[in-house]
Amino acid sequence: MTPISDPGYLGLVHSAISDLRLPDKLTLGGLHKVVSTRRSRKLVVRKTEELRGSPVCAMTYSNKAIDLILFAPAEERRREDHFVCHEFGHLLLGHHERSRGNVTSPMPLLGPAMVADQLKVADVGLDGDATPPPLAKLLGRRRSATCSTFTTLEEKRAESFADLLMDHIWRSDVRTLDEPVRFAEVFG
Amino acid sequence: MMSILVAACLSFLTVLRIPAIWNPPARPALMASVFATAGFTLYIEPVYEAVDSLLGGRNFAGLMLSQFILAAFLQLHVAVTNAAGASSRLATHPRQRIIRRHQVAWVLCSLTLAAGFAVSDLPVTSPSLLRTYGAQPGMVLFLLAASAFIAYTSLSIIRTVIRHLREMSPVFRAGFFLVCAGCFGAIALLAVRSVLQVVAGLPAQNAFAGVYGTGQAISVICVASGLSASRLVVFGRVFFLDIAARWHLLLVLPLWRAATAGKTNLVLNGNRFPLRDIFSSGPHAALQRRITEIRDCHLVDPHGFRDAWMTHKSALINAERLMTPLKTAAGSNAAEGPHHDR
Repeated sequence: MTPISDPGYLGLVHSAISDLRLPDKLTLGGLHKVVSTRRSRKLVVRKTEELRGSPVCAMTYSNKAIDLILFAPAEERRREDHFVCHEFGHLLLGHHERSRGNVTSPMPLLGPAMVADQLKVADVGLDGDATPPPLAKLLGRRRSATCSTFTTLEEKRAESFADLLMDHIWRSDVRTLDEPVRFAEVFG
Repeated sequence: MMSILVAACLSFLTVLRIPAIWNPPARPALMASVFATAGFTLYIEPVYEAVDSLLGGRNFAGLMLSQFILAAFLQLHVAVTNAAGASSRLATHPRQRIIRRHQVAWVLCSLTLAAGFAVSDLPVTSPSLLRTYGAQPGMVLFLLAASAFIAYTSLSIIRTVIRHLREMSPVFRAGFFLVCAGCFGAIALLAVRSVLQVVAGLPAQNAFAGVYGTGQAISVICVASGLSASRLVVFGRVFFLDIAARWHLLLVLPLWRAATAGKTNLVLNGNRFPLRDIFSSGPHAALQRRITEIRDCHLVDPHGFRDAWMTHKSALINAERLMTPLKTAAGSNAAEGPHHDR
């Protein structure tokens, strides 16, 4: 894994990623399983049309049963993957357990309502109660100029986490030959 | 000269394969490469003479060289059988039986070779053992044992590879085409040399010796590079993409500067001089960051840097294309992930 830069806040991110013991051959699907196992709860990731054009690229709601990530459609698949990896960063760096939410200001009503809708679809998470989750529990990657996007430590860490994961996935793709049989394992 | 070239090529291919030490399934291919390198390094005349003088000057270096080559073929057979056996869901036991049968053949041929060597009288160091002492019965036994094992192994490898050709990717197919060509070459050369040994006189044998040496070297390079084809492709791909990422970083720099001007809250390390990224050890990660920042800034302020956008947009798109995973770019579903959970 190659560091993009060495500011002090990256130390925690690097150690969190090395703790994950990610395989050399990694896809976003594989990462999804790693996060779900690590968090010991169901992980649901949904592309959400309502977020298109909103100040939030992606957001995460977490309770004891489920981690729910909602992300906005982007012009590129790789960019959507980056949004999702940013949210994985929040989850794996424990930001939900420690931080206040940051989606409340740009999306005071829509954010919680979307989460409640998706939890109903996922049929898990509110213990039968369809009340929208507390606003303070929503963390997200924002893109509004009026929002302090990368000025908080949590956001910087989650963004760096996403960068490093994307780099790992990209390297794994480049270094792996698409071989259907075991010849790659023996001779590759 | 040819023997130095072969040894150098094999050494390079062995170095490329060193990470396989930590990967048990890939270890036999590494061992095959190590033994072949050792054998063909001994084949270099000054090395042969130096080693033989250390061993007492009775051509023990020739015995060692031959044993290295046989061991290389044995390891190559193990690697191919393991790969093919697993791919055809061949149970572990039959696969182990095939490997064990081959190991028995290797032991028998090695012992016969050693016996032939032991009963021969080889007083003067000579890298061309068979040319110098080929008339002795012990040396004929030596030659037959080595040739029989190499031919048996080569045929077995060719048969296995051909049976699994359809399951291989184009890179592996091209690689194994080289392996088969090398094996065929080795068999043909051994056959001609054995026939000449029996039916032709010394002048014909001597005339063929030069052809045999060159042909053998080409065969070995074919086999070794064929087995390393996949590794060479990955090595070349990583090298090319590394250079390309640095080049694209340079190309997106004007757009990045225009896009991020006055938007420090959207730049992760706003105080960094991006030119440093071009020479960093991780140009892909740096390019990924710059692309993300340009896209973020463009979403927030699509008209703020219109001129730079119009001028350099193609640089951004080309950089994004470079960063697109190869399997996604090729249209497969390899990058399946949580996005399907919609």
